[in-house]
Amino acid sequence: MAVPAEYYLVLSAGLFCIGLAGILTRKNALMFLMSVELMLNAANINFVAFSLYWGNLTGQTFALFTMALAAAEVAIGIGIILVLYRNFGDVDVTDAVGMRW
Amino acid sequence: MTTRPELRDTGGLLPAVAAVGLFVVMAAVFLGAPIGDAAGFPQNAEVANESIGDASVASNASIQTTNNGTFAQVATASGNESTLLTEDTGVNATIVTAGGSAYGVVSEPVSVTATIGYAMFGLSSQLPDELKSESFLAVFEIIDLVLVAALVGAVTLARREDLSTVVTLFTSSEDAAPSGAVAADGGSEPDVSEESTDGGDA
Repeated sequence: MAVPAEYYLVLSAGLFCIGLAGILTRKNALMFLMSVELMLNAANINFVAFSLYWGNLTGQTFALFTMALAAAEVAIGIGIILVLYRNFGDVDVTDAVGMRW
Repeated sequence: MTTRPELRDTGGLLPAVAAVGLFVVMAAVFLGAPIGDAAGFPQNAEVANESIGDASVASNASIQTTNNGTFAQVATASGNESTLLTEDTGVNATIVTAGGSAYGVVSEPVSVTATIGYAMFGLSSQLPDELKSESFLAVFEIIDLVLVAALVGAVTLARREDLSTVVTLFTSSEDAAPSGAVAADGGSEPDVSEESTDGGDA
């Protein structure tokens, strides 16, 4: 028996809001990165759920590309965090307030 | 001193409450929406379809498998008539009637994973009729470039010119850079009394 699509949507909304809460409350850049990943994966759950809902594989295939995009984002994100740590000795996002320093 | 788990609220919990409120609103909308049942993915896809005569022969027809393949065999007064459905054996074949005719239909399980692969590389001719997807070949190439760009960007950001030298990337001048390399670069340990290096308070 198939799980109703509403439950997938609620799971996705929960994951998205956990990510959103992480971004709004944390200052650690690594936590920011993890929270963004949570929000991206919430979108992925919706892609896969609606793929099953419509009986069409476009959503599942698109979810794979979203994962690749998330990997690219993490690669750049960790590079930025590395520079942040070198220049400020910390990974607190509230330290970097100017475009140049 | 008692050490017990405490809620970390350095960033203020009001934004988190807003996020929970957003979840409540979204959950109420999703659970109240008339979404309906999922279509789901098909279990089997038709791969061969041979006519074996009128609908009346269907009751006398059966599927026979020999070493030469799978046949639809119709028992008639003059003997058995066999129609080759597929040269494969061990396939799932049935007799169906439609539009006044009887058909021998061969079906095989639909592989969702294989279909994703076909869709990803734009092999639309390989896609089964029962399971549709758009072609993602262009997207695949674009994501390929994005991943290469991300790799180059990550290496550019992480590179330093010399050991124990702070690369002043994105800085206006050498003087503006903080003095001394951080511990991770082989420099001295920063003064932890002034600033935290582990981000633990964030």
